[in-house]
Amino acid sequence: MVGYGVQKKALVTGANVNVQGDRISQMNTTTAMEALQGIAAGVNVTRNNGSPGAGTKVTIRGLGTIGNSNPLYIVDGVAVGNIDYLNASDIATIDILKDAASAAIYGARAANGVVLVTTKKGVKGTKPSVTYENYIGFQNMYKKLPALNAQEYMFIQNEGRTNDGLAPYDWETMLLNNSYLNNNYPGELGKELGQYVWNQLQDGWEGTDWVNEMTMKNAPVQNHALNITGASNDLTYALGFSYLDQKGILGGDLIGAGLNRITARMNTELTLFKNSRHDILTIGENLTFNNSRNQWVATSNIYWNDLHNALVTNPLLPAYWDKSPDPNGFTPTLEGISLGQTNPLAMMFYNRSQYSWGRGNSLAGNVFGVFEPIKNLKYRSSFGLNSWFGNSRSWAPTYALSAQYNNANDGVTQSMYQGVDYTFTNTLSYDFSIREKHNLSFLVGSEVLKNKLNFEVGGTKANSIFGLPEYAFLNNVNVESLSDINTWGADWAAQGGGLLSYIGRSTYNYANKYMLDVTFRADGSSNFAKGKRWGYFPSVSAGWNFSEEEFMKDLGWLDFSKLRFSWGQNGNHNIPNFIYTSNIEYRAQGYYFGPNKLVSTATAVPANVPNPDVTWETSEQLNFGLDARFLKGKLALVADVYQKTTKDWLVLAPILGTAGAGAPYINGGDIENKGIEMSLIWNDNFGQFKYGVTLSGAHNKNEVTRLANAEGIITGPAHVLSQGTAYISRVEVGFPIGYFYGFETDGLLQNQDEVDAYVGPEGKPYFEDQRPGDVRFVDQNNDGVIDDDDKVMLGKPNPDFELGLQLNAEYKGIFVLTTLTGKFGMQVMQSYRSFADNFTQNYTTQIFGRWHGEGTSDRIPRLSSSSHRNTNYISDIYLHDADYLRVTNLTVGYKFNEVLKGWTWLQGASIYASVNNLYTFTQYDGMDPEVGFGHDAAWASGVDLGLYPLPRTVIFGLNVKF
Amino acid sequence: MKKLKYLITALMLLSVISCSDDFLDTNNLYQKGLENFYQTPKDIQEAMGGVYNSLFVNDVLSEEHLTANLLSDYMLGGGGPDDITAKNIDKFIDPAEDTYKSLWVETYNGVYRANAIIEAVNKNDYSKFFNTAAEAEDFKNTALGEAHFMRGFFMYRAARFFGGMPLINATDAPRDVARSTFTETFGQIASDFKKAAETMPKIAPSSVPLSEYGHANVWVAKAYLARTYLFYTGYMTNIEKQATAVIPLPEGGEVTKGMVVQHLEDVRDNSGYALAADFRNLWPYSYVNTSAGATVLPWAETNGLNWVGQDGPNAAVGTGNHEVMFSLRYAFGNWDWSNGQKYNNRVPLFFGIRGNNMIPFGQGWGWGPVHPTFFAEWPDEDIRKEGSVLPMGVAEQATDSYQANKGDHETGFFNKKYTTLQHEGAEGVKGMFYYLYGWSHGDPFQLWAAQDFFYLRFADILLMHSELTETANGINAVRARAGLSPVSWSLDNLKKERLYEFAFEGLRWFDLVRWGDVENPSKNYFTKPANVSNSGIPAVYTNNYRPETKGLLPIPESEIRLSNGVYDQNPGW
Repeated sequence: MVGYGVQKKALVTGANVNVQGDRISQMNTTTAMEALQGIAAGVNVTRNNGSPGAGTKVTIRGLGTIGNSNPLYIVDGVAVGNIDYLNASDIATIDILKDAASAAIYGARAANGVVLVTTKKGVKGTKPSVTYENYIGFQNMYKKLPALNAQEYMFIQNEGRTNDGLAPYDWETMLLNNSYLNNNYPGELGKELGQYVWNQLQDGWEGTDWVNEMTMKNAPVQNHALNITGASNDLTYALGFSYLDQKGILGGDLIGAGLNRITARMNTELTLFKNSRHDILTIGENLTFNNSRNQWVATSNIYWNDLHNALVTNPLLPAYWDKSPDPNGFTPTLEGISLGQTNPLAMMFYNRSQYSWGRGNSLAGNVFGVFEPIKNLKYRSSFGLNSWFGNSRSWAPTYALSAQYNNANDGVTQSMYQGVDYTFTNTLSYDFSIREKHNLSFLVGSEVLKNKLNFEVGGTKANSIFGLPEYAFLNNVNVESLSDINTWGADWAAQGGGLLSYIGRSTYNYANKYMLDVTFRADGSSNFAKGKRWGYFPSVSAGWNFSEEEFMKDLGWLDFSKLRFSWGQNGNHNIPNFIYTSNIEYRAQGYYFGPNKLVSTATAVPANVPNPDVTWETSEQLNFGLDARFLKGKLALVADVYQKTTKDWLVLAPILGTAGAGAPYINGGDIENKGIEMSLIWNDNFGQFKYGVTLSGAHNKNEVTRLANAEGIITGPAHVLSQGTAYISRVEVGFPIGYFYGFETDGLLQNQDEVDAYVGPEGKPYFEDQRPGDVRFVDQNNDGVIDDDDKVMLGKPNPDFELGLQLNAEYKGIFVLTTLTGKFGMQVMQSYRSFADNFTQNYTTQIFGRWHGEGTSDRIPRLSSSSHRNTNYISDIYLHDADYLRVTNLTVGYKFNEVLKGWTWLQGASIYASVNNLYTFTQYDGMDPEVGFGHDAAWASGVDLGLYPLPRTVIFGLNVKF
Repeated sequence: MKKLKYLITALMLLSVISCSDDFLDTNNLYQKGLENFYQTPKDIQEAMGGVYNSLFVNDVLSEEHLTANLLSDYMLGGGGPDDITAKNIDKFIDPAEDTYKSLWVETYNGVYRANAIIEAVNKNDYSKFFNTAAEAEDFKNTALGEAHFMRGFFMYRAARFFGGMPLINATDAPRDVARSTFTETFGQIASDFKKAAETMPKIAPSSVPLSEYGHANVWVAKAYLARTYLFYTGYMTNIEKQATAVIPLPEGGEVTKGMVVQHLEDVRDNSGYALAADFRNLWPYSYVNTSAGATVLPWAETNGLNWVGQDGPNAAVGTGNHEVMFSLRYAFGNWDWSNGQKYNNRVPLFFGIRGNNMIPFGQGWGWGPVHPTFFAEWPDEDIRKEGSVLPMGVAEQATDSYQANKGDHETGFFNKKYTTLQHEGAEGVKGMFYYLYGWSHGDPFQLWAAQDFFYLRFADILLMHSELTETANGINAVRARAGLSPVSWSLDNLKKERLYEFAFEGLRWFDLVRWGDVENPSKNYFTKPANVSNSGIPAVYTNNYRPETKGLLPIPESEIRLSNGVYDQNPGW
């Protein structure tokens, strides 16, 4: 597949990767993109986290923008937001267009590459066939990071106190101190709880293991897919139905967290008129329907992350207490330990998706007609549709576990939404040959993309009549005051606009030996002001099948070889509309004139500084490639070298405060990505033993080369590793995008001699109170002070090198296949507690490696019971190399083809057992070195705050084909 | 082949049909633009709300009254061991970057919004929306005056911390200009206040409908002209050591002492503002027993306190407040909103008692403990002493169950004017304002303090008048209300009166600066040793003001970088 057409592989001049659908199905992943990890060189796929349906972050050939870096997904010719709605069994092939020339035909939206998905279709002249694929699996945590138990916790906390010269904690008094429970409930409930815990501890109770309490053992996953394909004289058809249900390892049993997805698909093609030589009029459709519910848990920053909560909550708090005033028995907060450490199970139970019902639907596909009046002159018209609709209802329950964690008024929310984008594409193509050797083809066309409907309406009311989840409907709420109501409604599509494009392509080859391909696309986007709307995206590529040359013909070991060259430009117009003009925005919280402090007076403010000049971001790419096959097809090689330059990236760069309104998007900088990709494929057999090896590797180097604002810096959010700490990610000219920034350290001060020697150029100690066990920060500018000027690049979150290795073997129906993926050269910033403000949060057992005497550690400083620069200065003590090689999948199975030969009605059957995420080779000491989380910044990643880890899944599967 | 050509042409036409550039035109249905807004009095009203919206700042350290109190001599840093920022401000150090960035940014947001109104009102004709020409004129003068006042106010709020600032006087003015001098900046501020004081109609506060309470008015503008005069001339004389008696105006002319005194006398004699009968009735603790329906604060009961309320003379809650002339109208916060905490008054939470959850004085983060020497020197017969400072371990103040050693710089004294008040109610123990206004959302522990911050009270009219005229009448009016006998005029008596009258109201720091007393240890508490407990460890705390900072704070470092070095950092930072 290439854009708007099909091309013979031997004649392709761009850098594309083609992955067959069964290769994806074999991986048994929830979404298709996950299965591409390590399979497609140059395509970096990182899971956002390990929860069901969490999605992936996909970067093709390096991050080229700090805005939206997702590739363009085209399913059967229709642009969609992502392909997570598809079941792997729906997919016939995925083609990834990596270089600019291949993607240029998609012009304005292709700056980040294009993922072309073709769903399964019937094939002319084939018999009907029915395929049933099924697997069930059990997921468990691959690696648990133990938090301290009660005794360890108290010991470590007291060590911090002692180090600070303070008396150890009086745990009994702290446990008994609970004024919220005492004030709000009869008796002295707070004291009673404290006494209960204290007695338990006296009896040797080891405390609560929160991660265990939250984890579902053997969380099930099951997948069923039924596919029917076939053809009659003039009709081909493919029908698919699939069902996936996956529980999450976190919260899977407590709140039923997980993903449930139904997909139904119908693709047909019908020839209406034909003559003896060709079809004259063909019509068809491809439609995929999806219905899903994702019951999520919190997986984000330190304030919204269930696993983080489980790691930091003190183990002294029992999970449940039979005298708890909470109707579900969750133990209230032990205020004396910390007001903020709420029972993490309760927060998951009350504040996540448990009381949120509603399923989302999507319907995507197209209807098309092909008119071919003369052989090879085709007029194709396609009307594509991408629609989404759904409803939701949720209940915000009441709860009361501490002064900080209580909600006296429940609330009900109901909402509905519906939207549709359409794509109307018309192309005319003609293929012909002149004197047999000169093969030409031309394609011209136009495309209109419009967001036709984007409707949402909903409301929230507080104080429901029944106060029960099953009665949580807006009708069942009496409102006491205006502030109890919130409603919304909009049709964002009513504002008009869209994308209008003209495309042209001509290809020429001489005797299948010399290829030349020229494309051009013009796009007009509503996101820019008149005069700035149109972008023009040319490309040219050429290929030389030099194995076809006479002088190469005699080389017996070389079957085929091709050199490729391509150059082209793509665009990106992905910014909100109306950036180019001034916007007056109404603020729900404006100002409070008059006595009503519940509802603000109507308030309007100029929202942004207009940028009338804002226009396309352009990505320009140069690619050289080599394809070769050797030894009668046993060995194949694909190699590419590229340089991709993103120019005038669309960026929301900080502006001077004097502007007086929000920053506009500007065409604000350049990024350069350079890299090499290579794949080697070997397939051979010894008699009945067949085997194959695919090895792929990709290297990428990323550098920001221009940032248009004076500061030349864009910084990530603060309070990432802990409340009260500085930002850690940044974008700066001369550095890779999203690099980690902070203090470099030179180990710890081990003894008094080292303390005395840690002085500035004038012999003055860097810190008056420095002592053994403290961090030795590096004074980069040697000015005798450790301050912001000493911060440097510590590392970066994106890999230098990615590796993929697939092995497969088959003997007499028994087959084994395994996939290994590796990423190298990236780092992770890790923190599993809010160390700068929440000192009584728990630690993981990593803390046993702390400094507690000379030579005991050179990384984790001495403990302190309060805030200390050792930890508060963001430094490389949080930085970890995260190189890893993972056995992503190992499958062993048996094909019954031989055994069942006699059963003609059965075309094939196989069973298999498989393990996903079998083993990870890594020195990273966290739960999972694959860390896609980057906090609030889309361009940042590699921040591990207790990221939902990828489970290890044991799967049993069955495939039958009738 | 000919047929083919026709066919191609026809098909291409078909596919291009309906595709013209008009297709790309869009219509913003959810927002207006600068060109079609500001057209009606309602637009102006909504835009004015937008101007005031910039009074809310995202970062707590940019809250004027929080930082000015921490800088002042009678409050220490406090907080827990992790609350480094509070201690840094108190200690006049700033190892971090962009500590006061929100203040800088919101200042210019406010200025831009005010500029848009000034330009629109000057240009547009609104008379068709009014029955008479006089009404239209009134509308225009009110809007123009208020916008000028607010533009001046934002600059005044920030320039007292930052010194000279870039002046942006039009929506299309260049934004990359350098910082103006201290004199130019305060000249512009005075010019805006003067314009407002001379433009706005004189309306008695009691005749403003309750629903419109909270707007600045002509009296407020007059008072701020006086404040600006005192601050500017004092700063120039005592910090810059250049004897100064007038503010030069950018349009020519100057603001003189005589002009300012006249304005103050107009406010004093004609505005309708007056002192509340009992000083203590200004503060919400005087309402907590009523709100709780029980005596949770015995001292308030004993003294028969009865809150005047915070919604002006026509308040529905309270007996009517004729003293507060201008305030920041805080409401409630909600974590679900973007920067959802800034709409509630964070000072009661941050300055509240640390680690103790008592009734009616609830828990806070324990910033800004009160200097014990300041408390000790305050004469007991002054009713403002007990009305302003909350001592720990006192049954009558309902603090007898206090447990010490919960935070740093603990002195056993907290401010009482802006602190956490709570009591039992239908939903358990929650904040007094939570019950008072019937709030029901979000976090009632941290986001419920809908307590207005008082920018300007009538008492300051009296005291400014005394200071400018060097007479004792104003001082003695304020003293009489506090139950104290009259004194004669002296600058020291005036200073003492301001210290006690306005304790913890965010004025002290600026007074110390403009009098030059910030540099004189005999005139402040900075170097007076305070016995404190640092999370359980007894210590003696003293502070050192750094005169090289000239009483200013650092401007945001990132703004200096963004300006490409056009801005210079303040001295000493």
